[in-house]
Amino acid sequence: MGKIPEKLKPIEHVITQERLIKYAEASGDYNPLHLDEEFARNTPYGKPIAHGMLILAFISALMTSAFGNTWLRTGKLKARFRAPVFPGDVVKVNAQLKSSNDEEVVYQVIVINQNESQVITGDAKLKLDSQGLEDYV
Amino acid sequence: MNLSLLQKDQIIFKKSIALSQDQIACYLDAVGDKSTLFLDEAIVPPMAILAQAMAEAMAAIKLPPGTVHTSQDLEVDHLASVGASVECTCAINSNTLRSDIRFLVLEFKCTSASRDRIFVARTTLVVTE
Repeated sequence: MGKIPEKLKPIEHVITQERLIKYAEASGDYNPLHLDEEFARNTPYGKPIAHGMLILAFISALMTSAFGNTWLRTGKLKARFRAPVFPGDVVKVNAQLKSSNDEEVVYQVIVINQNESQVITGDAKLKLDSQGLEDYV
Repeated sequence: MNLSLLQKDQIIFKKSIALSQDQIACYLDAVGDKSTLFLDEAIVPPMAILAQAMAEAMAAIKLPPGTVHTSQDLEVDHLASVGASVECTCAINSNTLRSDIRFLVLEFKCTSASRDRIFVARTTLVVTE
């Protein structure tokens, strides 16, 4: 069984309008709040914001890179969107071990932007099977 | 649609979703997920299914375009195979109005053809009225 890491290697993503378009095409979520500058200008945000599910996917990708199938088969994610992410932002996904026992591991996950403001906070939990974290890489 | 009429446990949609290898590759590219697990093992990222289901839900109840996603829970139990149809159901978990702001909680359940639960998810949306 691999040793459970205290902290996962953070990942960074640059958010661009092109990326939002690509995510809209992949997900089918064409909400103009994410895609239409004219529409977004008349919202409290003043400009397009990233899809919450896009930023959330970064957390899942981090957990997948660390725990592979164990995360995919048993993962639980509980997240709150605390602030919008805009095109041009650079977000960093951090995961710190919160608790662990013989059955499960919980990481506190925090996504921050380039100003160190939290944009997502939450917990990512995965179960250990009899082989432990066999997929930890 | 008049959102105030949505009742707890009301089913918004029930639909089969199947994602092809190309769709998954497109999703992974969009979210910058470099893992080769999905395509190597022909499995679908659960969040890719949830993303499709959310888009379906937003269309089904004609959520206004300024709707904002404020929280998300997801519990995965099984993985879906590439190309396999999974049955997704979305129902209203709660629908409350506070100071002209509507809080809609949607509950998604997704199962395989063999009735294994793929995931359950809960999505909180805020709609300004």
